Amino acid sequence: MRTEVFVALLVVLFIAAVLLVLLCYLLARKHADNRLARQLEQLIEEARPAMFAYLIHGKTSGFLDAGGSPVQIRALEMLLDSCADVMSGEEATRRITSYAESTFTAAYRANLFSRQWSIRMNTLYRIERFGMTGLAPELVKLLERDSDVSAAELAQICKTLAGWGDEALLRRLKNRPPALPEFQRRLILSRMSDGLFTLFMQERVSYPRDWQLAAVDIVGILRKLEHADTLQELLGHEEAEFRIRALKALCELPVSVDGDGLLRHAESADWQERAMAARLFGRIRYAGFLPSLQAMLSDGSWYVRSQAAQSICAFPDGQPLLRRIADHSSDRFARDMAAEWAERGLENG
Amino acid sequence: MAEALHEVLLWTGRLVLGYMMIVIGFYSFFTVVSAIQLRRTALLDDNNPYEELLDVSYTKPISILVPAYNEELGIYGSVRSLLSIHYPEYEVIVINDGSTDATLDVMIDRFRMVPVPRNVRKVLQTEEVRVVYRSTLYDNLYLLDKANGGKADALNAGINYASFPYFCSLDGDSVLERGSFLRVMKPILDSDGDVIASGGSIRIANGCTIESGEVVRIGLSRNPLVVMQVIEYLRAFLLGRIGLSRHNLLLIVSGAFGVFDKHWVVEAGGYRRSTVGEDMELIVRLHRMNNDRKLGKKIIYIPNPVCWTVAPESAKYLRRQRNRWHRGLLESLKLHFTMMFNPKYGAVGLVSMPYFLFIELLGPVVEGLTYLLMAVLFASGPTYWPFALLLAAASVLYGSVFSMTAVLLEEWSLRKYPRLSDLLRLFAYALTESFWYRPLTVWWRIEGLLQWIVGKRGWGTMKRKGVSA
Amino acid sequence: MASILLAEDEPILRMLVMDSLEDEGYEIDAAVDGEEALEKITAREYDLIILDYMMPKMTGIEVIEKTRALPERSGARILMLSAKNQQAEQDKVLQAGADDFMSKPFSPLDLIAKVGQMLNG
Repeated sequence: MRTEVFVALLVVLFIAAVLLVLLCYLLARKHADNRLARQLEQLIEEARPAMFAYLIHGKTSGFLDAGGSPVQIRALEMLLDSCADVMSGEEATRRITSYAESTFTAAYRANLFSRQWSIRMNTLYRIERFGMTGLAPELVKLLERDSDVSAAELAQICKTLAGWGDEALLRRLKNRPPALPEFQRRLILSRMSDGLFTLFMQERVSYPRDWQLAAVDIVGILRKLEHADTLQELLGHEEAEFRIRALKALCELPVSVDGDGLLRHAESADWQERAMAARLFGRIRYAGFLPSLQAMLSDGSWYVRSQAAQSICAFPDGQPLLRRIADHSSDRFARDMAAEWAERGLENG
Repeated sequence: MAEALHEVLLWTGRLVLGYMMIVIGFYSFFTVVSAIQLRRTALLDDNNPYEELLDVSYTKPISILVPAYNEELGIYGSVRSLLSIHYPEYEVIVINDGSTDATLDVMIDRFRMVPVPRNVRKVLQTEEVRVVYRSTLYDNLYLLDKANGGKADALNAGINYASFPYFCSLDGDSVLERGSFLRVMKPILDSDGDVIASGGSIRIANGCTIESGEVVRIGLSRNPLVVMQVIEYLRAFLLGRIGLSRHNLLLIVSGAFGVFDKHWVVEAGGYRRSTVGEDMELIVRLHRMNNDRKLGKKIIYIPNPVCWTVAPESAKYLRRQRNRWHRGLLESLKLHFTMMFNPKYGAVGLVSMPYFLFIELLGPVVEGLTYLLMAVLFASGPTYWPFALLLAAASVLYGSVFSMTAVLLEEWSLRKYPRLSDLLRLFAYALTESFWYRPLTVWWRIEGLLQWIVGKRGWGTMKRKGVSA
Repeated sequence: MASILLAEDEPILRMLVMDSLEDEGYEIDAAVDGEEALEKITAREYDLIILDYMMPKMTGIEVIEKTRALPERSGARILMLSAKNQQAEQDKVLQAGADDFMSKPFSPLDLIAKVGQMLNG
């Protein structure tokens, strides 16, 4: 018994001692961090007027020289960051880039290969933020690496290169597409310069399926009218998913489409396609769609019925029509849906 | 006779000791897992990864549900702060759960609310919603005036009226950080819909400077009970939740703040009315549904604090809170007892549920037994003192040592408390935990169990302080 | 010399606007929230008031309404800085009584130009 107690007490004391040592280390670190924070704040205060003067009026000043000091670089970086937050306009943006490139390039080049992930990520964000296109070669190098680059870094690199219109991105998407969640794919495509996006669309079929689908979405979200023709083509695609997304995107574009040609989508075996067709009918408001919409009020899928009702609302005599259906239709689903939207249409309109 | 007593003491002692060793083993494992997880993400510049989510087309809109019962003091501030969060598209639905004070009037008056017709399909059954209001100042702010039904019922009503695919449940006296939603939604977006519930770390707001519902400066309260609670939260979140989340074992997405996929919550049946720990019970049910239907969904947690909540400052209210929490835990476990040790529910059934049963629920009983035993052993004469010391050592390890570790872990990774004196105070108080605070909470939790046994259910009264100026 | 009141809670933005306008020779007072802004407006007449849409303690819109309610200030010129670039919000700003608005982030030169325009027009 005695030995066990002895051992136990020793263990507890030992752990407590280790924790105390850690505490001392953390206290020292905190002290150093706090001091650094105060230093940075002071440096930022001093440099701010000069930074404003430079960004707004183009006046250069000694205050903006970083020297070799990492603390100074950090302070100027934070200052530039917060300025980039609140300022926009061609002049200001141009100066931000020019300043960043002359002051931070060397440091960032090194940081991109740092062992700490958070340093690499933060650097990537700033490179994009400050528009440091001079570092594009380094980004491309990272992009073409086979390993060692995390998903988050890859996504950020893609986004940056997309915004800069760099074709290396397209090569990577073609040959070795990165595995990224849907919303990242959309973000990357949406950041693409017009030229790059057009290139993508021209070679659309050489890209993986989910990237193609995301691109269709983007055409709708960003209202890229110049690609409306492609959407029309896709309406005849063999895969339902493409047709669905094309219909959805067309809802957002103010282009004229062949009315009767769309009716067949309302007969699709896929409920989503029928629903999107219903939605599109509501945007176009061609009288020839009304019979089809009315029929869809009895559709087996709740979503299709709902879209059909909403679309009918959009027509000039839509609400009275819905009320008549609510009163007289022989189908219970149709009556319910029509009644709900006859009411709601009033509220929103 | 003395022989028999001697044997009983020894064996009880060994049992208790054995239990503690196992738990210490668990905690140690979690600590290591958490440390590794935290190391990576903690130092990221706060806002950068989330800026891109500010574009409405790429994020999912959220309905923020705020159940309110007698919150006339703090409701304006809380709601006001919700209206200025950084998120592209969201709506705020305040549910007045039959308040008997001026909550309804304050809302209608200060937000210039007017009744609007609103018919929805009631997917969840709730008490009657009498009137739906909308603000003329902020068109994404709604108010449901309904008959009293309790928090779970209020939330279900909110779910019925929520227009968006995700909803967030929020307590009236919680304060969010501006970027909270972005942070909590990011894993959901990254997962392409696999994550159906996401929660963030909760911190204690007492001692912080809060202006108009926003944490302006983080500080540590001077109240010892509050400091101990801060430590408890650090311990629970940093040591427990991170580890559990990593392996999809998480059983608590705190009621104070969590984002849920509305579709799946409705599929699971919404919140359960009759229980006191409705947040945990819902999560258990989501896990159950996930397993039953082989959905492959996940429930996760983010270490970065996203929500600040007001903690009770007096022993009286703290005690009631702990009574209630423990009863809630018991109810949740009892309701879903079939999942316990059931391999059909995978890791949740084999690891999480047992963890909550043996460590969280029965833990206080074992600890209480330990204190009792130590007292008896000390009174029984010097031959028993070594054993008593052994128990004491285990107890200190179990309590103070892990709490001190949690404090250091927080400082190492998240560094939320700015002052040196804060760190020192936290560490010092953590050291004392096993000697006064822990026995107190052990007793309060045992009390909760006893209360449940004699049939006490329900919330009791809680004094609401209100958070913002 | 024209006097301007700026009510802005975000420090860097506040400093930016103050710096830019002071350089142009205007006299600028600053307030960090809606309440302080209203106090200053009540105490003194300004040639131009610049308000942020979202501020602690009192929103920009509430400040406008209360300002217009004061008889001797009802004619104040008000410019609002709004965070979102949405038509609905802009309409609301103008309806509430602001004379013009500027959405964030903006080009400092644009702001200077607009201020000049409002003070001389």
